[in-house]
Amino acid sequence: MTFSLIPLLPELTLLAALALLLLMVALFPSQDGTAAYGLTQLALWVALLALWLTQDFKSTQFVMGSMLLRSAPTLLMQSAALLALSLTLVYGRASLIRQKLWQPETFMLFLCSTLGVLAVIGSYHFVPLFVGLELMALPLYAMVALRKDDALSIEAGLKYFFLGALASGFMLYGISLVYGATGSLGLLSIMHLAEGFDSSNTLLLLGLIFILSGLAFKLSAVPFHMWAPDVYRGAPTVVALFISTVPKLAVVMLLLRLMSGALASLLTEWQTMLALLAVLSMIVGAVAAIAQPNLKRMLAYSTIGHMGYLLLGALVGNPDGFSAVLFYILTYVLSNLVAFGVLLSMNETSDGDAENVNGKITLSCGSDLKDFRGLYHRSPIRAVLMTLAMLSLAGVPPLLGFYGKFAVIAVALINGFVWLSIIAILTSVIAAFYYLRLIRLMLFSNQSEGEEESLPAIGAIPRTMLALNGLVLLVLGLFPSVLLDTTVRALAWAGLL
Amino acid sequence: MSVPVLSLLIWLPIIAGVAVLALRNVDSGRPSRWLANAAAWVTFFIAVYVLCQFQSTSAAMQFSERVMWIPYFGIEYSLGIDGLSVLFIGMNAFITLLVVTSEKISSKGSYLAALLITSGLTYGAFSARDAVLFYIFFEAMLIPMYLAIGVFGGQQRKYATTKFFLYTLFGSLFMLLALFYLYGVSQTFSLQAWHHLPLSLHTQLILFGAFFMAFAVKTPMWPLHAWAPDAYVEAPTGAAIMLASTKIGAYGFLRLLLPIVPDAAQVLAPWMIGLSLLAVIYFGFVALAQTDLKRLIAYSSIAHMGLVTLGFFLLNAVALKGAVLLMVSNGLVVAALFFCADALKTRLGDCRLNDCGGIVNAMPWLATLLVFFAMANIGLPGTSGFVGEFLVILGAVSYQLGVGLLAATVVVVGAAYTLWMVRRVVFGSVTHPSVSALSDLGIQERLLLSVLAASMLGFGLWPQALLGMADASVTQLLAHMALSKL
Repeated sequence: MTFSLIPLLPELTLLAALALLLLMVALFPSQDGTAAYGLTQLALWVALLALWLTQDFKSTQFVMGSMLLRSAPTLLMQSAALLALSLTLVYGRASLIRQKLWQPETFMLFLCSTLGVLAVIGSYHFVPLFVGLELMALPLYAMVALRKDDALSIEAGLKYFFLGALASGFMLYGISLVYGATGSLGLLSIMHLAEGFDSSNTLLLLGLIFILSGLAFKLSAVPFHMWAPDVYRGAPTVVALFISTVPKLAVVMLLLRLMSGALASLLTEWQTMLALLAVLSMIVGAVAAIAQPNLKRMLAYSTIGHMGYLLLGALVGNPDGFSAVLFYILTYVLSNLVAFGVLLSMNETSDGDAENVNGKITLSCGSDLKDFRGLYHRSPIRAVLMTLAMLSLAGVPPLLGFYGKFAVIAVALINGFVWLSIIAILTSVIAAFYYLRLIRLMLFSNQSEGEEESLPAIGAIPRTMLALNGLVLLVLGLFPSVLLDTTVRALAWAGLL
Repeated sequence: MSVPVLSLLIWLPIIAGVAVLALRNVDSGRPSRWLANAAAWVTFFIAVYVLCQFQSTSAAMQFSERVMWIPYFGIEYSLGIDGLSVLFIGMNAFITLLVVTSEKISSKGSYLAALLITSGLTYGAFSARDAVLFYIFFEAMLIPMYLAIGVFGGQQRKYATTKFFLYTLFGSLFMLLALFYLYGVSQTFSLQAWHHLPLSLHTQLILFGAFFMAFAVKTPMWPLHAWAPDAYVEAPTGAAIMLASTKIGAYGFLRLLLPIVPDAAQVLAPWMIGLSLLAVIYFGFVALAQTDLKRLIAYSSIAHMGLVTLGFFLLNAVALKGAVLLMVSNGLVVAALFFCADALKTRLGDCRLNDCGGIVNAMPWLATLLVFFAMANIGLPGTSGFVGEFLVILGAVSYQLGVGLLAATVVVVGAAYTLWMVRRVVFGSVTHPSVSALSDLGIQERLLLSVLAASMLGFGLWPQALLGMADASVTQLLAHMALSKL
């Protein structure tokens, strides 16, 4: 069997960059991260270019038999992942330097995980899917624990690793059950073989339950969310931003792919379980965030809530719902990038070198809500951008985030999920409270006394990119069709996810 | 192709507002103030042009603009005004002009920007013909208002703004659900199409509830008013006036609730009438108990909104016209009273009613004008307030004699707190040592308040100027509501 490697160019680019980085580390062991950073950015943009050049986005194309899939939605999601990582590194550059993580190894981990993300988005077979998921997850465990001298970071890494390994086990067990029920691992053949199966097929149902548990863990949907606040808090902020955006793209894609394709015959069961996950996530995400004194923990709960809305769109189970979800995840990623981008520009070690938290030494200060008090007077641009991000995450028109919620709730309500929609509306009011609280702290409070510490200057490039990113939230808010139509059309062209 | 006048009205202040924001630190803010004033004047003249060109004999939508905006959901950027909206377009232009031009030299550019952006969005809400477009303008207004009050407001601003934001968001999200439902039924977000959409009474009642949540919060109506007094009091004067005078919530009743769910409105009318009367009485007594001038004005405004909603739900032409007139009149009166309170506050430092007795000796101009505005607030014949109240009471009598008597009686409570306020502030003995040293209104303040007084007097003597514009549309609204949608 012969096949062309050309459709794999994006993945191969990242792989080549990884190999180069390894060589660099081996040959010049004492270098800092500057060269690695440049190479990583270059690889990301080359991969992006390759993605757009090699792919005819109006047609759906299987590669290597039916192992891999190339279609408009995969193109969209892979581009989003590459762009998100690129922006993450731009925003996080200064923070990495300050935290002494400016080393080639850091970028290798980022690249490796993103390679896994691309693999998951582009796979149509359980084997590459699972390999991709592990490739995505394993570097993350190390990334969370990157700050070796920080107790919180280590704790978070360990916690993430144990729970993540458990989730992987669930996932794998679920896959094997599906294999047992259908006798195949290819999603395309499973789709045909499982047609007409219903919940009386216990093997398939159990397989679905296990797979969904694994996915819910990666999405940090309640009740599989316990890791998220600790990991966000403990991990370096760059890594927290990465975890909250790039892997989510892959997992959402995988969820929709399984739901619309291979395991579509169990739609009712999907809906029941997703409804539960969605409701719990929306409620916990909205309520628990209120009590968080730390912005990173708050954003973790915010992510949990957003995953709830996303699952609400997914459980509708028709193309309208799926395109609403794709749209939603993109609006969420764009908004979250701004929020974390501002956070990354703050000073991590504001209280000297170390702080004592519950008897453990930690360096990760600067993300407490109190550090944002009166931010507007110290740094208007940070405060304004953060305000835009918070309003967008809260879903206030005319910012982009509003249209994400609009699309998801509209689709859910029109398809008869009235109570879920009402819960979504109520929780978004509760959630608005904590987003507003940050705005209030930044804009309405005066500078707290005795705290004249200066903020690090933002470099020209990150400042421009952040400002553009913030502007995108507003401009796409005025012309939401640009993004919405892209996702709708992508799905329509592809025919399958 | 004709000039998109309504788009100009909406976007000119918004773009000017953004420019003002950008220029606020240039040359100690002088260019930004100049720009803000210019924008306010230009939009005012555009609004005057709209008022002049408006065909008051027609109930059809005029100055229409339609562009497909979000094709996936069939959402159009669709604008147009009829007799119900044109008055509020004029009102908004007038209020914006007064508020922006009267801002003190010392005030910050970003505050003016917030006012201008709010003003632009208000035009948008008054002229939107697509439900989602309306919703977006209606909601987006929260952001500049929230920031204006939160950054420039009084001591309790954090509490007041959070309450304001969450109340309004809570109410309007229910409206959003209603919009989604209607879209699911009709596959369109066009308000015009929804006016003719048949709906069962059961559905209508639920939709009524959803719309009511949104507009009763915004109006505000008892019992969803709790955000309003705090927000009005804590807001800087300009923002408070923009919030209280534009009447966007009450407009929502006219534009969405009454024509879309007319049968539910008929069924629930007695309840709404009861709520409205209760509101007038309740807020009247609450106003009596106030010791702070701004808070008293806030409650007085809310009490008058009770009369407005009463006029809506009597569902006859006389009362409806009265309600519309009362909205305009109350907008003017509230603005004038807030300006007076501001004049006192900048001189005395606060507006405790007990502290500022006897200002008539020190400030004859302010005292005279304040007494006049108080009379307009009561609805003395010859002022704009009179015609509105009279028509609403007349409508109430023709609805049911009991309701009419009650409506006439509750107006007395309004007279009571207003007159008592005048007695304590204007007359009485001087208790505060600095009152006797007060300087009277400056020329700019005199001009501002005189313009307001003249407009109240003008509309009081010649109400037909307003009624004529609204006439055709009110008639059409009632004719439409008489047709059952069941």
